[in-house]
Amino acid sequence: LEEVPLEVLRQRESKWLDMLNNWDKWMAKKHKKIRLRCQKGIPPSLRGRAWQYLSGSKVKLEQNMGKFDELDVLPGEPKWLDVIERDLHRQFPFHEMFVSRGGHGQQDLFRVLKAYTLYRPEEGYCQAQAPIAAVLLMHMPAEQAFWCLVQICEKYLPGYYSEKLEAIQLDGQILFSLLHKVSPVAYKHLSKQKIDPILYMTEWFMCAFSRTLPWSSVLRVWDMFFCEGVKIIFRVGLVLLKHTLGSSDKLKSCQGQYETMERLRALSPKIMQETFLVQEVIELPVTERQ
Amino acid sequence: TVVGAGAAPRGSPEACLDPDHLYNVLFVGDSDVGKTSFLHRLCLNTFSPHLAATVGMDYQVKTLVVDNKCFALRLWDSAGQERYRSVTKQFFRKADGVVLMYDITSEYSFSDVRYWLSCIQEAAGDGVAVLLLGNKTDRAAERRVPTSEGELLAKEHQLMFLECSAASGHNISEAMVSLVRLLKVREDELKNKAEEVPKPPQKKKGCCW
Repeated sequence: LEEVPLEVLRQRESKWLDMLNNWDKWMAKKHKKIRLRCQKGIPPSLRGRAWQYLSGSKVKLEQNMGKFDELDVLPGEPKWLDVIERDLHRQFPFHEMFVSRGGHGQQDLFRVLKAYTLYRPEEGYCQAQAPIAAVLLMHMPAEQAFWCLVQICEKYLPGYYSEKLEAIQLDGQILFSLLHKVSPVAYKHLSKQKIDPILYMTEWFMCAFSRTLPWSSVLRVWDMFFCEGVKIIFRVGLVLLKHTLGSSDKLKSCQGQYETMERLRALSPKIMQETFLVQEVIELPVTERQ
Repeated sequence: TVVGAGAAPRGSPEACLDPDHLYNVLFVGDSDVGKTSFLHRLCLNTFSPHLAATVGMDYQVKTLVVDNKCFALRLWDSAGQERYRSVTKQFFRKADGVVLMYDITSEYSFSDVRYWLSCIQEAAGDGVAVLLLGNKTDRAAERRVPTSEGELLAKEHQLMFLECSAASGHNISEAMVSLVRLLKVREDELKNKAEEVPKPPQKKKGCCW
């Protein structure tokens, strides 16, 4: 775990406070600076607030005052309630917020997910939304988490959770073609083993790595994700693939299909460590156009 | 050749190094019926009530010695929620066998069995071996689906049928041993057929996919 010295943390907090208090000005004129500060990591005490500003969920909430409460008191469709209820105890079960059945964390999770099925009845509930909502609830109250979830589902990862899951399959193909550029060795190996991107990237992307990376890395990735969008998810995926399968040395011990899948499931802690991972993500030579 | 419930398993779930046969087995069924828990019990002999819902597709490998032969199983664990079908259906086609699981404490999950059967048939055809498996027998007090109903449905569709509990370990390896025997019979049938025909349509068994 990377320890930020207390003094640095205090400095960052005051910088972030200044930004949040003059948000429109910063967004208009110094977006690069915001991005840089997100890459360095948002101070934990301000993270929840910052995510709401970055995602635009704060504005969304203000434009829709009372909407969440309206949805909150509606009963919801039984078919969605059933699936959601079955998932409540399966999200971060060892986090103190979600540890007890029917506890506040699980109750709020239910409210947020149910509200979404009423907000977008044609989309309903997709199971990968639960970990996303749970991470949000660790940082903000239910109403705020709801609007942040809305932004993620509609602005950041549009189509990821909708009926046919077409967007995630398309992004799997895009990830794979980017890998060709970033790490031809890893690309060749995965092609040879006939390992479809769906097999390793679905959970990575749909849960925005919240179930894959160590916690401190999840937060750092999300800080950048909220600022820069889905390309961060692609970059993280590419870094993980490159450092897991990107050299003939690494491939020696995972020559078969099964060994490769195992390796991708049990990623090396070294490559997931926050400082290493964030640096690699920033430096990865992929351009927007590719 | 359908092995019914209660068939005495003569197989042992030991590991073997050089398998004679390799089968792809796909696990399907509603969300939260216990597919991932079953695989954790089978492969790791552990049980946790907190396993996260499967997103997309997961994968385990297990070797079994049955009737003195060694079998390698590739076990494909699919997400139960309906909308993942478009993602997982490509794996249906390549399955040698399917474990169709429901939760004996949930009528919904049992009534969805017919839906799952139609998915299997659509993607994999009639030839695929299917084991209908009712999970969670440890929660007898909450049972909503009588064993007889499972048996009846299995008979109607000519499926193999068992009940098990991933939580207690009841009938876990028995279920896999029974399925392996059925898969072996199917494989032998196919081989015999192939030998009868002058130019055999080579069906590659257990190729990488």
